[in-house]
This record gives sequence, structure tokens and C-alpha cells, in this order.
Amino acid sequence: MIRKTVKIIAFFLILSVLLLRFHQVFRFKFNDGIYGMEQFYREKENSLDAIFFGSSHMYVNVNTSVLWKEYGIAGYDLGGSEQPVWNSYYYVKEALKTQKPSVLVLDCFTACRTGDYVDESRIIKNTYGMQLSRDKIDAVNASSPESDRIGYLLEYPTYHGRYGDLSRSDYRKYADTDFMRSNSWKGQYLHTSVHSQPEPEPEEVTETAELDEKNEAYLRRTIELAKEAEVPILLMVVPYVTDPKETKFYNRIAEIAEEYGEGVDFVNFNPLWEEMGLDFSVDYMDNCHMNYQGSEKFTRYLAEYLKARYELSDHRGDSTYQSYDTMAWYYDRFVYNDQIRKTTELPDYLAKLWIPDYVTVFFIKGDYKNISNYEEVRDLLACYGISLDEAGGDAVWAVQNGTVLFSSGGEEYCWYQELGKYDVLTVQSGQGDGKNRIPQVLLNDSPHSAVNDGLNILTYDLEGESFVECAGFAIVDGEMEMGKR
Amino acid sequence: MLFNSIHFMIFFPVVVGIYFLIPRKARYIWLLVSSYYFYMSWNPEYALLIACSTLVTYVSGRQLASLKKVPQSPKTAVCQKWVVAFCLAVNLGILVFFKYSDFILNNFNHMLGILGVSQVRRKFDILLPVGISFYTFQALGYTIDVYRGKVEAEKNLLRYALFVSFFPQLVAGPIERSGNLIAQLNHVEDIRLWNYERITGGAVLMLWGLFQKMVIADRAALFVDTVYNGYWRYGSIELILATVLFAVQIYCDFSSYSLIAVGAARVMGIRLMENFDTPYFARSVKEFWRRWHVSLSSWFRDYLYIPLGGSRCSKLCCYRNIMITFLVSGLWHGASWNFVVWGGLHGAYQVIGDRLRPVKMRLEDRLKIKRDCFSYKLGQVLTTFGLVNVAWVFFRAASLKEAFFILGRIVTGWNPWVLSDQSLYQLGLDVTEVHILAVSLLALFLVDQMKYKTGKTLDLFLREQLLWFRWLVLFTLLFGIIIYGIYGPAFSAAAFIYFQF
Repeated sequence: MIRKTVKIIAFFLILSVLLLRFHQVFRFKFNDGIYGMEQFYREKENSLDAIFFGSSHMYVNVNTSVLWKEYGIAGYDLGGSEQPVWNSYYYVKEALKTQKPSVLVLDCFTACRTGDYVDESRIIKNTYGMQLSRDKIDAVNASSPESDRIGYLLEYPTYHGRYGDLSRSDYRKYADTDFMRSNSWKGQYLHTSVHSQPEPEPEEVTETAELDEKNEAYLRRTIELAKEAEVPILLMVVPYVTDPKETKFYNRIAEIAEEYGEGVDFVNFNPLWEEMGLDFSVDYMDNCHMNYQGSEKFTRYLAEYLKARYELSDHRGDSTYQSYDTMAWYYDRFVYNDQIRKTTELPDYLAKLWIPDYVTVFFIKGDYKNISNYEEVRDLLACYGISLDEAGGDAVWAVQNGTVLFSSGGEEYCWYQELGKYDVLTVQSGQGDGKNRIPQVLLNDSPHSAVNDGLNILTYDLEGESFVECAGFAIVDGEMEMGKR
Repeated sequence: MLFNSIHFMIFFPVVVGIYFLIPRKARYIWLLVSSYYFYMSWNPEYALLIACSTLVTYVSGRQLASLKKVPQSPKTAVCQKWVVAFCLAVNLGILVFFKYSDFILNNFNHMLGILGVSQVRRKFDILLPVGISFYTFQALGYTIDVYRGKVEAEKNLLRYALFVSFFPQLVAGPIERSGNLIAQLNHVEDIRLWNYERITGGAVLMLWGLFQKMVIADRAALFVDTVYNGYWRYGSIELILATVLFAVQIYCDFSSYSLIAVGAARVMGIRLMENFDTPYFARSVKEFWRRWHVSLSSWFRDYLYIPLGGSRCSKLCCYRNIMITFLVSGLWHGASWNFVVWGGLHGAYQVIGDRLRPVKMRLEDRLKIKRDCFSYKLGQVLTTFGLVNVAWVFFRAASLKEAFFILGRIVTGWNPWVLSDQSLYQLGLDVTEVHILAVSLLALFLVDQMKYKTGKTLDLFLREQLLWFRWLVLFTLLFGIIIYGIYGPAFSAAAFIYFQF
């Protein structure tokens, strides 16, 4: 009997371990909803000054790094993709269990929507990050049709089918995945691309439109929750290419906010875009989302507004906020890497790479010895300890901190370096002599090359543990272009 | 409440836990309450039907028992027959009304249409109650057994009600014999709470059943449904593959239900009959029916074929009896001419096979074909499988017209290029899914092969193995189901095919 009992216990122990591992690997790892909430639980109690709830309009446009670096405000974007108001309500409820911020900020964008439920992926993104509690169950109940609730609550029925989509990053520690390391801090989700948008037409809309019943009910519940907790709440609309129809809903939200009086504010920032210095031709990545440059402008304006209206103190220099300093460092690196990517001229590009914690691989292919600007290129590369004169045929050099770690032409034709915990850089100078050599540079298993004839520069940020880019400067008509391809 | 639903995963442990915790004398009442809850989870109104069927057969049984106690005379014999006839009429009447009224009305209207008479319209819809064919046959089997004196009439109405409604086998069998199940339910108080082998054995059967259903049957269905729902677009290869996969699907679907039923009952200390015995290894259609849906085919044998005269009569009568049995069996499977043709084909296979046997033997003798070798047996297995598959086309197709079209296209629409142009991966199963299905089918083949060769089911085989191997198999099955099972909000739990019968 004892033996059998031990066997049963052992069986269930092994089963539990395997189930846990299954969960770690298979679960959804969305950074636009789940990750921000999961990380939120790691924040120290009562340490946050301002928490921003809602859709991507918040976690893309409210730049928590700028809030910290320039104002010392400990902000957190606690949102989810297309977050419906009912999910914001449960996020606010969850946040107030551990935090007593100076202000709660709620995005009003999705309050204009209709319908009782959103699509499956949004249900997942706005509930799976929550820890199991009565509120999580209520959040799932509010988010999904009755027949599907048990599946969303248990989670695995929704993610077990990912076996066809699993990638290397699913097997890593969650926080170590590329995106989490380089792009997601305190809930913010930064973009770098630029897509010009039409400037909003100045239009005075004074009418109101009734909100969907469910939206209004949860909006009121959220306001009441904040009032009960005695935390001021700001309902806001972030500037985007707005439809005038939506403004009518925002006007209705303004009325609702007014009903509650003190401690409940509403601001539609849409008409103030010029005052913020926003430029729709360069500050947006689509019609709703700013890139990080745009978010910096908007966040500065928002921070001034918040500081003027709420009691927000400057925590810079406070050692309990070390995680915010770390975020600021990562943010600076993120911006620097983006500047590298956006630098096009070879001399400037090479100058930008001249910092210690980057590994850079130069590989040059084609008839580069006979280009008209050979000497200029040679001199530029010489700063990195690279001697073009000594190279023969296609050639490759791996450089860090001014030291050549590997160059082709030696006895070794293959060199590798482990980069951080998960990446491996492999440089093959190619077998054979002279023109028969075909150098290849692989990051993990993927070969990188931007141009076939010309200079390729692959850059990896060791501190940020992220791949920056592989840039190419092509040889055209016997001359190496100084502009990046 | 489907066996592969999360609700059942909660329901079953709760029922078993309470079953073993409450006073032993209350066990059968708890099982009865649980069974009715299980059945009512589909539609609470259905409970009235099963209660009605239970009451009629129970009273008939009691009536037959009291008639047997009085001195036997021709009058009492007639009375007994009338009781049985009444019981059959009521139960079959309910069955016909709920299951066949549409079919009868449509055919009647078709005939009226031929005669140019206006059609009859019904003013209400009838929903087919889940499992009505199963429990009706089980209850009727009991009445006939009491009439024949094979079993004593059950005195306790609640115990009898449990016999009719015992939840593991209520909606899709096995159709239990009263002699086996009532006797066990009468001693449910004596079942020991803790029996490691019994509980783990039952759990293994349930696990294997869930694997067959969720990993194999529902995955094969993705391909089958894609092809059969657009059959006119496809050629021979797709249609053959879809039909073969349907053979796999229906076997895994139905056999899995029986396995889960047998396993669930085993956990509670009740042994149900085996319903499938490696049917696709059968070497003749006759043998196939000894292995496929055993509880139903033996029911028809005992309560229809043998009363008709069975094989103890002239060849012609015997063939008639076979054809009647299989036509009725076809109709039992569904109210449609497709099922009648399907049953008729199986009957015809056996009649023709019997007629051709002497010719075939003579031919084989003349050609000196060895009968005692692997290839001969394999040929028989493949031939049987092929014939069964031709019949499955009628079973799966939506109409007779569609079935004939598919068979015609299989013969004329030869398109071998689809084997190499990757288009087969566009039919509901991509490369990953095909690999998963292939590996699962290999597992199914190995387990069935072992059963065929040694007679051992998976639970018995595992019991003889070392711990590491046993656990390896269990964890593989468990995670196979969790990861590769077809379930979740994207796919609402797929119903078992046999529920419609």
C-alpha cells in the first residue's frame, strides 16, 4: 500500500513538473497585453506614481522612459491590445490591490466601440496576464461568451495548439526573449518606423453620441472604483487621426466625467497636437500609433499636464527605483541603435559603431581593390584595425572595441562567439584561396548579407543583447557608395 | 456532456469521489442521480423519455415475472406475448416517432409527389434525443431476456432505472445485456473502494480512448470533412484517402467512446462488455461483424437473426435472415436510405461471399495458392478492408446520389499527380498535422496488432511492463492529448459520430 502511494505521489509530481514546463513553453507570450500585466506584479508596493490603462494608444504613445528620465515620474503602461473598457476596469482593480498611485489614467479610445465581446486574441491578451483570483474569473466572464469561458480560464485549451508555431524563443526564459529584452519596459511598446499620416482637419464637434451600454457601465464602474480608492482618475484621448464620429463619443465621456465632479477629469488631447509639436509626417508609424520620437513629444506634454494637476514627486536618485534607471539605460540604447540604423553615410555610420560593447563584423565582397574610392574606404576601415591592402579576395573581419578578433586569410577559416545567453555569431572566411573564398556571417543559423558586391557591416549590441542590423554599402560602376543600401 | 469535454473532466472525478465516500447502500442511488444529470445536460426534457422507457420495460418485466409464477397455460403464454408485444410497441413507437418520422414522412411525400397528390406537412420539429437507439435496445433486450427466462425481473425500480441509464454507456453503448449489468449493479455495495489495478486499468483505457478520439478521429475528420463537403472538386486519390481516413475516423471515434465507457465503469468497479476487437484485421466481412460494434451485432444476432431462424434453415432462408438483419441494422444507424444501402451492402457481401466460396476454393486449389501464408491472409484483410470502405462511402455521404457520384469519381477520376504536387496538404491537414496523424496511426496500429495477436488490451499489456515504460507510455498519451488533441475555444468539442444513432 505504501509503495503504491509513493508511486502515485511520484507520478503526480512528475506530471506537475511536465505540466509546468508545458505551460512555460506553450503559453502565449504577447507583449501587447500579457507581458505588461505579468511584469506589473513585480513592481514594489505603492511605488508607482501614474498608471496608464487601456489600448495600444496608451502603451505605444505614453513613453514611460521619458516620464522617468525627464520628470522622475514612475509610470506604468498597464494596457492590452484593443483593451475593452471592461478589461481596463479589471486591470484597474488588480492594480489598486498593490498600488496607490497619484493618478490613474484611462484611455477612452475603445469606449467608442460596440459589441459585447472582442476577438479571441484580444480576450487572451487582456486576461491571461492576470494572476488567478476572483477578479480574473470575473474578467474572463465579462470578456467571453459563456460557452468559451472555461477554456479561457484554464488557458491551455487555447494555447495547446501552438505546437506548429513554437520557435526558439518559446523555450527561453520569458523575460529573455528578444523583444522583451530590447523593447518592453514598464509596459511600454516602442516603435521605430515612420509612416506619414494626414494632419487632422480642425473640426468643431459639439454633439454627443451614446456609448454602448456595456462600455458605459464599465466606464462608470472604473470611475467609481477610483473614487472609492480615493485616487484621481484622468480619462484621456491620445492624438491620432480621428474620425469626427468618435469625437461625439468622447464628448459624451466628457459629460460622464463631469457628472462625477472632483477627482475625475477628461482631456481629449486630439486638438492639441500642434501645441505638443507633433508632426504627423514623421512622428507616427500608423494612424493611431506614434513612433518613439512622437511618443517622446506627446509624453513631455502629458507629463507637464500631470505635474500641474496631480501631486507627482520626482523620484530620480532614489535607489528604490533602480529598475527605472535600468529602463532608462535600455531606452537610451534602444534609441542609439535606432540612430545607427537610420545613419546612412559610411563615415558617420562607422563613427557610431565606435563604442566598446558592440561586436561588428565587416565583410567585403567583389572587386573592391579596383574601386575608384579605394583609398577612402581603406582609411575609414583602418580605424578599426582592418587592413584592406593585406586582404585578398572576399574578406571578413570581426572587431570589438578596436581589436580584430578574427580575420580571414589565417589558418582558421571559421570563428564563432557566443553573444549573451542565447545567440551565437559564426564567421566563416571560406575555404580555398583568393577569389574562391566565399565568406559567410551567421547569427545563430541565419546567414546575413546586405549586398553581394561591396561592404557589409553586421552589428550586435552585447550589452543590450540584441542584433542591431546588417548594413550594406554596394560597389556600383567601380565605386563604393557611401550611402547605405 | 461529451466525454472529451472539460465538463466531463470535472464531472467524472466528482462522481467517483462521492461514489466511494458515501454509504455503500446509497451508491446506486448516487449513480442513478449522476446518470440522469449526465443525460439531462444535453436536454433536461430527454429525461422524460428515458424515464418512460424505463417505466414501461420495468412494469413489463414485473408483469412477465408474475405471469411466470402462475401455472403455465396457453393463456398465460399468450398473455406473456402480449406483454412483450406491448413493451416492444411502446418503446419502438417512441424510437420510430423521434428517429424515423421525418424519414417516413419524406418517403411518403415522395410517393404522393409521384402520384401528383399534395404533400403532408408537419407543424412541429422533432429533435432526436441523444442515445435513444442505445438505451431503447438495452431496455428491450432486458424485456426479452425476462420473457425467455434468462434473467429474473428486477424488483427495485431505481436499480433497474440505473441499468437503463448507467451514464458511461448511456448515449453510445456498449449496449449491455441485463444478465451482465443488472447483476453487477445489484452488488455495487460490495465493490472495494481501493483497487489500484482496477482504477489504473480503467484510467488507462479512458486515456487511450481520449487519445483515439481527440488526436486521431477529430484530426482525420478535418481531411474527411474537407473532401466530402466538396466531393465534386476532387479526384480518385483525394476521395480514396478521405474514405480510408473516414474508416479510421469512425473506428477511432466509436471505439474511443466504448473504451472511455468501459474504462469509466471499470474505475467504479463495473465491467462492461468489449465493443470493438480490432475490426480492420478481419479477414472476411462476417468476421468484421464479429469484431465491430460487438454489443449491437450480438444484440441483432440474439434478438432478430436467431428468432428469424438464423442459419438453421434452408440456404435461402438463411440469406433472407442475413439481409433482413443487416437492413434493419443499417436503419438502426440512421433514418436515411444511405444507411439502409450500407447495411444491405454488408448483408450482400456475406451472401455473395458464401455463394462464391466454393468457386473461390476450387480456383485457389487449381492455381495451387497457398492459404497458410502471410500474404494470403494480408490479401484477405485488405480485401475485407476495401469492401468495408466501399460501404463506408454510403455511410459518410450525405445522399445516395452523392455516394454513387463519389464511387464513380474514384473509378474514373484518376489523378496520381496530387501525390507529388503538395495539394493534399491543402485539404485540412498541413504537413505538421499529417505527421502527427501518421505517428498516431502507427501507435494505433501497434496497440491493435498487440490486441489481435495476444488478446491483451493496453491496460493489461502495461500492467506487465516495467515502471519506466508504463509511465513513459502514460505521459506520452497524456501529453499527446493535451498538446495534439483537437479541442479548445477554436474547436468546440466535437461530438462523437455515433451519438446520432
